[in-house]
Formats: sequence, structure tokens, C-alpha cells
Amino acid sequence: MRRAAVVVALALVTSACSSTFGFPEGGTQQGRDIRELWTVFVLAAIAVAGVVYALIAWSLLRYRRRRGEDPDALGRQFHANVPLEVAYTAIPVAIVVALFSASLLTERRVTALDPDPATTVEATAFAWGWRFVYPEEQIEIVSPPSRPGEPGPELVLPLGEPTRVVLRSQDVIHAFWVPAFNFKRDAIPGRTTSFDLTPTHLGRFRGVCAEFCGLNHAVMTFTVRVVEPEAFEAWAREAAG
Amino acid sequence: MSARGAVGWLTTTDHKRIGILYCLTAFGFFLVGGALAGLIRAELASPGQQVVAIGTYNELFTIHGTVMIFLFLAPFGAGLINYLVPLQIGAPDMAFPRLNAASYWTYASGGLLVLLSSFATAGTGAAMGWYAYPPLSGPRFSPGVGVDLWIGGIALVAISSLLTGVNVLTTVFLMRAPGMTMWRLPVFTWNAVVTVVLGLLAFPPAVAAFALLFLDRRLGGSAFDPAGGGDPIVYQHLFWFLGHPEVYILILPFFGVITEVIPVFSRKPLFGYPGFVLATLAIGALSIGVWAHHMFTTGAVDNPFFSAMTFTIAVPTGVKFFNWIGTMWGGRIRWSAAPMMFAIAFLLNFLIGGVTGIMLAAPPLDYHLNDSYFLVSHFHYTMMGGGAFGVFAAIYFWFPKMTGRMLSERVGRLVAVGMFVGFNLTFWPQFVVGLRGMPRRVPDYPPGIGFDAPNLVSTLGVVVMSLAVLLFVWDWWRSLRRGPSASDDPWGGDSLEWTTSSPPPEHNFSTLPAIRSHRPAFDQRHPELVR
Amino acid sequence: MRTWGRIFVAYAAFGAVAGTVYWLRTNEPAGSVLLWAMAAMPAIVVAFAAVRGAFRARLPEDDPEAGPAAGEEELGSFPTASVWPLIAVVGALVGLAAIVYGWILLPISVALLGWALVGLARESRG
Ligand code: HEM
Ligand SMILES: [Cu+2]
Ligand SMILES: [Cu+2]
Repeated sequence: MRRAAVVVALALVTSACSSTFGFPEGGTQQGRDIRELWTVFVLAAIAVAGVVYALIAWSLLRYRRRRGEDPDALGRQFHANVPLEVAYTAIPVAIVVALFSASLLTERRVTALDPDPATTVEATAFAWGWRFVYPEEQIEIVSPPSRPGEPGPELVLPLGEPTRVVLRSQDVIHAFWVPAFNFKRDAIPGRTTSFDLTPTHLGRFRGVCAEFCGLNHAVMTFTVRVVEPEAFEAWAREAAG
Repeated sequence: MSARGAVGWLTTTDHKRIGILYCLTAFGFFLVGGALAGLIRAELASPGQQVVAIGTYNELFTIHGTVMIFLFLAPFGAGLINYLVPLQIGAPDMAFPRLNAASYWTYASGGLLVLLSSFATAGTGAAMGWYAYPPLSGPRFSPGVGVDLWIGGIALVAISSLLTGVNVLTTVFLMRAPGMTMWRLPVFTWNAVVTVVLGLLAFPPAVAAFALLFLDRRLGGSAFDPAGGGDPIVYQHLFWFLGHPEVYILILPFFGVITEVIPVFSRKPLFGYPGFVLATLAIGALSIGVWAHHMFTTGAVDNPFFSAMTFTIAVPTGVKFFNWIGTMWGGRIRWSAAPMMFAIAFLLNFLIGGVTGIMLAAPPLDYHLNDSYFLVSHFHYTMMGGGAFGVFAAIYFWFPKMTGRMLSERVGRLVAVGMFVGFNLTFWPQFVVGLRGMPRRVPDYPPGIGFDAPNLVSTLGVVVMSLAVLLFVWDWWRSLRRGPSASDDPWGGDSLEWTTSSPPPEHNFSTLPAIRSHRPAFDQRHPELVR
Repeated sequence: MRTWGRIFVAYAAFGAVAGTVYWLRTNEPAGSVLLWAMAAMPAIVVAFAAVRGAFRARLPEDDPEAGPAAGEEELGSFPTASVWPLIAVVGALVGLAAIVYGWILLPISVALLGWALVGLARESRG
């Protein structure tokens, strides 16, 4: 009986640890880092919420007023318990410090800029579309005006190598979001911001504008296509020529 | 003597009537905002369909958000503060009754302007989202008068809450009953104090932001438009310096509400009163220092600083949960009473809002979650699942005091269960679609990428929730005229308002009991237990 | 009285520390100024109250042993009704509408506000 319970618990824990709890797995190195942090946070959240819900449920059931009891009967009139109060302040502090540290380490990694990226894309958002320029390869890709059902322009990235994205906006604030990469960054007019994407999966991924930018915000989409580095070279030669 | 009828209500300076006016107006805005939410959910029920035009959809969520935040939840809190604070501290009225009336009318006119900003502007309604980021809200991209009216309306609401703030602080600091030291203030009043302090600190920068935005729009300024040398990030700093404290302005009064409700229905004193008060004060201070967690994805702010501050604020919030649990522990809980059911629902929902808030406090997670439906769901778990459930707890708890009549307990239970189920059906699926990559503020989404089913469930949840709310409105209307009459103290309350008649007389009290703890009404009923 | 003074001082201290840390980390002016302003506002209120001697007076509500009869006198009388707040606000609203819809509305606004002002002054004297 006891052993069965342990096995079930272990099975639950291992499956929980391998599950992503609804988060995309992360198609880039940065995205996977973020997803690992998510797993830590979800497990902590489940633990904390589990304890708190259990305490609430226990109090409600154990200390409910029963049928036929004197309606004016009082509960035990205690006001405080200082050691307990210290504990329930200190334990959250410890949890929060741990989570903050984990988050800080992950943030350092995912926002780090590689000193020597494989290639660079200058992405410019405008109402309502995207322009992707590869200055080294001399390629420019501009979306046609966005419309429902249009996949939008295609951003091509080499697999396994860091690509620097230099993000700008031409008019209002937009945001570059590839849900499968677990990452977004705002495109703010008058400012330039950069980040690296290091794809770990081949394929096509949906990209959207995540900051409301007016009438056609919802259809301001683009596609990211991740290809082998050799294929990227070939594509770049063709697109430039 | 106060005048009767409509004139009496229009000219009243009685804090109780003003409080009721606030609550009624705010609840009306809740119904308006809820109807708009219904339209939003109808549009999103399935992909490809068009219930409203795209431009209209953008106006819908803008006005829904604005109404719910600035015209429903905060003013309902202000109404409770108006009604309860003088009663709880044993004062005859607010310190400045005429100013108080002026605050109410300022808020009401602000609300009117906000409604006009979308409904009376023929195609140029405000459609820039409730935080009105420039340049989108600037003259080049939102030329019509809609945004101007919106700015005017919000500015009026801001002024109203500054006036209320001064009034409430003066009242609490100078008009407490003899013996009611600050450390015997009822917990609702403590939360009210911190709420208005936050308003006083946070509204001025926002008013400045709105004024600059208005100058940009109308007088050719360019404070926020990079085309003229301005910086949109500065607007975001000014706005969120209000915007984040605002969420605590929204929730603190309802922390206060359930902290009054839980002890009464557990037949116990609040567990750890001093710790609870200190936690409230800490939340007040910390909430001023977290604003840029709304800007993690800009890449233009000090993420670790704001992330650290935001994590820290989870601690005092967590402490409150243990105060509430400690209060129920060892009690004799009457949890079938409607106010208590709403308070319990508050606890269950708000906890989810809290743990998802911790996730959003981690910048790397925010890179995925920000501006997705996950975020939408998170803040509805706090503001709807917490705040709005707190509103209902307050209504069921104080309705007898305000009107002298009881609401139906049976119907109340049904409303609580219906709202709880409907609420969770509506918003849990939004976590799922958010994680899968559905951005907020979109009128449509492509089929077949995992968004369809959760969106449909979410819309069905709204149907359940709406039925529960309509049931409440019906019961309210009926009980107002025919409900059984309420005694002075129908629940066995703790604070001073339960020692006067229901409803209280013009200047509240004919005699006051001696005040020896933060539960004077309880002490009066149980003199044998006074320490 | 003393309790709220302490709270305000604590808020001021928090704002000052947070503002300084923030400035040292970021050199970002908007947020630093906001945090320092948050320190300044409660500090000014407390300083003003201290100068006025507010923290020396001992009020009945600060006396844990005070009975209900203490402090009956000073609160004064409270109005129960007045039309002037409503009229003043309508005046302000018309003024705002004037900015948006056109300056013709301005005289109406000024007239209403003036009327309310006179009314309020007479009411509080009478
Ligand atoms: C009555 C039930 C409610 C439903 C079904 C509902 C539904 C929604 C939905 C679906 C959105 C997202 C719209 C979009 O991004 O396109 C939304 C946005 C929002 N809601 Fe609600 N809501 C409800 C109640 C509330 C309450 C009580 C509050 C606050 C007190 C609130 C505050 C907001 C805010 C601030 C936004 C953001 C608006 C914006 O993006 O500018 N809602 N609501
Ligand atoms: Cu966009
Ligand atoms: Cu915030």
C-alpha cells in the first residue's frame, strides 16, 4: 500500500517534471531556457497553492458550524501566535529569494548577446507589417499590407547558430513575438533593441505583433522558417541575387 | 433636514448617501462593462466570425477595460470607504461633506465623458487600449475627439480620487471616536487609509502624463512622439507609476471587506491584527516601486530592480492569506452565509491570481506571457475573481445596514456558486490559449492552432456568469422593497457600524460604546471577554 | 497622531532609499524623480504637521482609556445637503467640454463656477 503510493507519487512527479505545463517547448536555446524556468515556477506554484488550498479546505471542513449548533457560539478567541507569524513571513521570503535568483540567472542567459552572431537581421515593424533586412547578405523582405489569412513575410534563420535581431519601429509601438520561441520584445519608435535567437528546431513558426497597434493589429503576422545552415546560405545567395 | 426624493439625492452631503450613490453608479458601470465583455466574448467564441467590425472591437476592449478599472472597481471601493469609514470610526460624517459630494459628482461626470468618448463620437471613438500608449494615442494615429474625451474623463476621475483621499485621511486622522487609537482601527478602515494614500501618491504623475498627452494632441507638443523628439517610454513610466498602484487601489478595499467578513462568520477575532496592518502598509509602500514590471519587454528598463520589488510584494500578500486562514482556524465557520461564500470564492480565485502574478514577475517568463491571454486571465483572477467577488461579499454583508432589509440568503448562495463556476469556466481556458500563443486585443484568430475549444468554453462561461449576475440584480430589486427587515446587527458584527440602527440615523450615532479593542461591537455583546 | 506621523516618515524613507538605489543603478530620470517625489510628499505633510504642533496635542482618540464622553465638543456641525458641489462640478464639466468641443461653452462654465463659489461662501457663513 505504502509502496504503491510512493510509486504513484514518483510517477506523478516525473511526469510533471517532463511536462511543460502548457508552455511551448521552446524552439530556440533561449526559449528552452525560459521553459525550464517555467517548470520551476509551476512546480513551486503547485506546491504553494496546494498547501494553501489544503489549509483553507481543512479549516472550512473541520471548523464549520454544524447543524443544530448554537448560532452564537464562539470560536476559540485567540488573537496571535508570534512564532507562527514569523514563520509564515520567513518561509515566503525564502521561496521568493530562490525564485528571484533562478529568474535572474535565466534572464542573464536569454538576453545575452553573442559577440559574434552568425548573421544579423534588422527587423522593422510598421502599421501593419514587417520589414526584415539582412545587411550582410543584402536581402530585404517586406510584407505586403497585412490581411486576414496572409501568413505575412518570412524570416529565415539558420539552425543552431545565433542570429542577432535588431528591432525598430517606424510609427507606433509593436512587439515581435514568436510564441514557439517563448519570446517577445517591444518595437518602440525612436529606440533600437537587440536580442539573439538560436533555433534548435527546423520548421515554420507563427509570429505575431503582440502590442496593440491599431486597426489591423490582429493580422500583423509573419512566419519564421528555420533551415539548416547550408540551406540558409543557399537561400541567402538566391534571395540576394 | 435633508430633502426627500431625487432632489435629496442630488444635493446630499451625507456620507452614507454619497457612499450609496458611488456604489450604485459603480455597479451600473459593472453591468455596462460586463455587457461589453459579453460582446467581446461573442466575437471570440469561434474563429472567422464577425459579430462586430474590427474598429468597434478595438473600442469595445478599450472601454471595457477603462470602465471596469476606473469606473467600476475603484469607485465601488470609494463608495464603501465613504459609507463605512465614518461609521467604523464613530464619526458623524466625513471631515468635508461638501467636498465629498463634489468628489462624487466629479467621478460621475468623468464616467459620462468616458462613455461619450466611445459611444458619441461617430467612428472616431477611443480605441487605443486602457493604458493609451502614445504614439498610438497621439494626434497622428488617433485623430478624433474620442481620445480627448477619454483623457478628460480619466482626469476627472483622478481629481475625484485626490479629493476623496484628502477627505478620508483628514477624517481618519482627526475624527476617530475617543479611545479608538490607530491600532484599534477596524481592518477595513486601515485598508481604506492605505488605498487613499496610494491614490494621493500615484495620481499626480498620471494626471501629468495625461496633460502632456493632451498637449501633444491638441497644441502641437511632442513630449511622447519620437517624430518630434519625444519619448514614448517616458509616458509608460508616468502611466504605470499610477497604473500599478491603481491595481492595489482596486484590491485593497476588498482585502478590507473580506477581512471584516471572515472573522464575523468564523466567530473569531482576526488572527494577527498587527501583522495584517503592517502587511497592508508594506504593500502600500512596495506597490509604488514596481511599476515597470509592465515594461519588462520594452528592453528599456532595469528588469532586475523591478522584478525584485515585485517578488517582494508577494510576501505581505502571502502573509494576508495566513491571517485569513488563521482566523478561520478553530472557528465556528458559517460558510453557507452568502457574504462568507463570496469571501471564500475570493480566497480561491485570488490565490491563482497571486501565483500567476509571481510567474509574471520573472522577466524571462514575461517575455512569453506578456500581452498574451495568460496575462488577461491573470489580472481577471485578481480583479474579477478577487475584486468583483469582494464587491458581492460587501453587498451581501452591508446591504442590511444600508437599507434595513435582508437579501435572500438562498438566492445569494446560488449567485455565489453560479458566479464562481462561470468565472472559472471563462478564465481558466484563457491561461491555456495564452500559453499557446494567443495575443490579447485581437478580434479574431486562425482556426486549428489550438485556440478554438478554449475560446468557446470561455464564452460559455460568460453565459453562466451573466445568468448569476442577473439573478442577483433581480433579487436585489425585489429585496429592496419586500425583503425581510434587518436588525441592527444581523450577523453578530465586530465594528461600530453594527451598534447603530439599520439604516443609521442622519449623523450616525446617538451614543457610542467605550472602545477598548478593534472590535467594539463584539466587546459590547461580550463584556465578559474584554481583556 | 503620532502613529500616522511614523507611517508617513517610513513611506518617505522608503521612497528616498528606493529612488536612490534606482538612480544609482539606472541613471534614468523619470522613475528616480517619481520615487523621490514619493518621498517628498509624506515628508512635507509630516513636517507641516510638526510645525503646527500637531504631534504635541493629545487627542481623546489617541488615549486608549478615553470614555465615550471625552471630546464631545470640537467636531462642530455638519451639513446634510447642499446644491453647490453639484453646480460646481457641472461648471467644471462644461469647461472641459469647451476644450474639446469649442470655446463658446467657456462663459457658461465660468458663470456656473462663479455662482457655485458665491453660493458655497454664503452657505458656509450662514
Ligand atoms: C464580467 C466578466 C468579464 C469578462 C467576461 C471579461 C472579459 C475580458 C476579455 C475577453 C478581455 C480581453 C479583450 C482583448 O484583449 O481583446 C478583457 C480585457 C480587460 N478586462 Fe475584462 N472581463 C470581465 C470583467 C472584468 C473586470 C471585473 C475587470 C476589472 C475590474 C476587467 C478589466 C479588464 C481590463 C483592464 C482589460 C484590458 C483591456 C485592454 O486590453 O485595454 N474585466 N476582459
Ligand atoms: Cu503591430
Ligand atoms: Cu503592476
